[in-house]
Amino acid sequence: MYQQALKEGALTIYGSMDADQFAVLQNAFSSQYPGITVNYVSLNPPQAYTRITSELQAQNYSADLMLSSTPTLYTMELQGYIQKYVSPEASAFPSIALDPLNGTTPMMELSIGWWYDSNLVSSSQVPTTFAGLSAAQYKGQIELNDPTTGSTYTQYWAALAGILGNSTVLNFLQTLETNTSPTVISAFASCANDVASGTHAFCLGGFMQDAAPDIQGGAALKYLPMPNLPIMVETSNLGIIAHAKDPAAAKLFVDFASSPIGQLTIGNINVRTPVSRTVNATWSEVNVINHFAPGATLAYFPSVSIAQNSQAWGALFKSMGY
Amino acid sequence: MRKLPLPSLPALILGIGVGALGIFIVYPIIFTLFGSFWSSRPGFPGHFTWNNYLSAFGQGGVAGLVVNTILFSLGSSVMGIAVGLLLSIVTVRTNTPFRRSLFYLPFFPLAFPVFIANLAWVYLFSQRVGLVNIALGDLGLSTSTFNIYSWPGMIWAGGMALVPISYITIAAALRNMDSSLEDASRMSGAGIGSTLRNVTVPLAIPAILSAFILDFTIAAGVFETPTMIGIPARISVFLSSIYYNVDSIVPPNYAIASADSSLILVIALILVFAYNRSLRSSRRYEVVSGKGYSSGVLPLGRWRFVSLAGILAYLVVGLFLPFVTMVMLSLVPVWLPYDLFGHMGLGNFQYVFSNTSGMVPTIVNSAISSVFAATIITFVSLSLVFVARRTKVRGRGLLEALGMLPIAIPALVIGFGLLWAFLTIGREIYGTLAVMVIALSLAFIPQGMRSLSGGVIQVQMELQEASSVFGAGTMATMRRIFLPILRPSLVVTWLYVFIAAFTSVAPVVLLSTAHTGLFAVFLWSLWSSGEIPQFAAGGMVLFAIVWSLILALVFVQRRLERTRVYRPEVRS
Repeated sequence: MYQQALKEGALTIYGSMDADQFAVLQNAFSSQYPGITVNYVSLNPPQAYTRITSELQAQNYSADLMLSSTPTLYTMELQGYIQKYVSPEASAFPSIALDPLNGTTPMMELSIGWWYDSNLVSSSQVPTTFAGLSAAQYKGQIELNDPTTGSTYTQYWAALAGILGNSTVLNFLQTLETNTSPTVISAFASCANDVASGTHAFCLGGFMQDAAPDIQGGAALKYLPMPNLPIMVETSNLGIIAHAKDPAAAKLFVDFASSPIGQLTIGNINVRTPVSRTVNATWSEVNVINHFAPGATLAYFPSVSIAQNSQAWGALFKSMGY
Repeated sequence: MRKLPLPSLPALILGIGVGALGIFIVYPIIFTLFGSFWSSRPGFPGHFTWNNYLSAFGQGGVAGLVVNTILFSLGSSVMGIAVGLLLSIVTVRTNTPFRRSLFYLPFFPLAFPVFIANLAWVYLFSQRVGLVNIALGDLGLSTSTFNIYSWPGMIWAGGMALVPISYITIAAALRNMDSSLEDASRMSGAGIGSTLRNVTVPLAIPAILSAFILDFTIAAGVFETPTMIGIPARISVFLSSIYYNVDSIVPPNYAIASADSSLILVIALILVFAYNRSLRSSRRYEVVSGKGYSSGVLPLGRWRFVSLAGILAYLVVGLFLPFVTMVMLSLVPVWLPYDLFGHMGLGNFQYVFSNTSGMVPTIVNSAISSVFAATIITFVSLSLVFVARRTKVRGRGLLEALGMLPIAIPALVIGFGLLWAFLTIGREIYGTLAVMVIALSLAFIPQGMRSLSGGVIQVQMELQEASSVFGAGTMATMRRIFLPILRPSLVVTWLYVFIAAFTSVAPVVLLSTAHTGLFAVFLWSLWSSGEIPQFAAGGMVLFAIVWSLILALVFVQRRLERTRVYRPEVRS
């Protein structure tokens, strides 16, 4: 495959991982497979979706690979924008992390937790129930990502509803909206960072990889443990775009990223979690949880049915005032 | 055999111009309207339907968007006008110290692209962590005194962006105003305040009205402020709704975005019509005559130091504080406002300049696209303005109106219309820089025409007539008369359009691909991905480039003015 990929010579990836972090993996790939230029464009999943679907419609096939969290990628798979390819290396991954549609390959795990600023709320006063957190005293102090977009955060709340019960989650969101008017942001990754800065006291749904560097940097950001509320884990997968110009290079990259070397490389990026449980990486799932959210339980999302109904979930959250 | 007469050059320019402009300007408008009645996404099979409008009026909440758009545009315009008027009066009509030197300073915030200034406002006026709020907290006030994510915050950001535009319009009018009426008021015993209230401001009303409608149109067409500040504040306007429905949700809701685009298009066209009417009615207020013209100033006495403090305060708040905030943000890995200096470093700059960030290729793409756009606009604008203002060819008014039409179309809607257009007809060039050049050219052609029309009008008709008497044709007159005289205007127009195109997100954000990414879109992606300090570092790079260009503009303008020749050679 390498020889075929060499003939192609290049590879374009649209991805939601920060470019500086992706560069570590890119450099490791280039060391092992010299002669293939990797062009990485950092875009959040909705932006990547719009661009890729427009390019396909125009038959201008720029992107070969999409690296995205599964909520967006499953939607694209269901709509036929992804050509099915699962790396043989993925057979070593835990089955719960695998793509149920069997069309993409998981590359890393993304954990979403709730966070608070310990300068604004002392540990002893941290609310421990949904009712406590949605009380009017926290008006203007809560931030969350837009749950109406159909992407990760729509499917996050939908998945939570499946775990905690529809009424629990919907009542909480409605009460939260009524009592606290939470700030809803559209910029990905800002939620945990904003709470680390002190803009808001609580972030309901911030990525671990965004929160962890802030904590390491001395921010008063802490994991908010709520009874029965798991840390929700989604995977970030690699999907080969339909009509990719460089399919061999794309497959080679997918194979590399899911190989033990690729997984170890990912797991040593601060703070990125590999899917593989067999590599001895600095930021394996266990290490990350023990370090930043001790005692937290984990639950994987999304399911295919949630991805299929993401628009309806988004509309529901919108009707609640979000 | 009798030969058919060849068309004159102006008629030829008119014909080609109307044809080309008609295609390029009407093309995205038609596709925006088409999309609003099409049942499917761009380029896909579908059928005509009313459902997009029903969706927009239903789940899209058009009524709320209309109200919010009007409130935001009105609030921003009023603020822009109020500050712009005060600054204009201080620098033009009073004896404030250093007023001649200070005259150009209110233009400087124009060099701050809106989306970069917005970020600075966020980190100045956020509750608890904004630098202004922290300073107020140190003074014993609440650290939540200001909240940028609110109606006042959004209007502040929108209004501050409009101050330089209001200032340009109003200051120009005040500069040309005859001061004899003010002198008469003063001699009749009226005080400074009374003279300003009863004479100066009423005389400036046409300029204020023009500036207001222009500001309103611009504010209604801005998407960056409503997206960056409005969405967290739960305030949606038309433009943020369009952007949200195309670029923030999965899958995009083209139905609502298209219906919203068509509705804002209609509203903006009405506003531009009103603007043109206000310009015509302004002639009734003309007070500059050829005789007895006097441009004195109002003596403020001790108050002149207060007015000086006022203008300096504006510069501190409007320019210095945002700039310093952006510098600080660009130097930290995360905004920890109580410990900023402990974490400062150049990591964000190392990142944006590294190969992996992909910034440098986007700067190259932006430079190429902007060079082409500026060149096309300068050439086309000159041709259009020349034909419209210096010939009597029938239909010239149509040509000028077509050229000015894009001012009514929000830049984001131009981009969205082109997306529809190129995904339906013209797929071959989608994903090439040509698309970016077209989008930028369409978005900024009115600015090119406005910039050049003053210069063309100032060339005396006698020169043109003398050239004609000596037998020179249109091309010769253009080459020997107009081009030498207009050289400074052409250079300034070219640089002005280049800067506008280089820093612009709205017309190109929906058209960008892996190989055609532009610098401003790269920065926008950093913001939307939450990489805020890196965005700030990139913003400083953009700021440095823009300032270099502005300095070049000033240098070139001065040099050309020194060497300007008003005596064109006319050979017999």
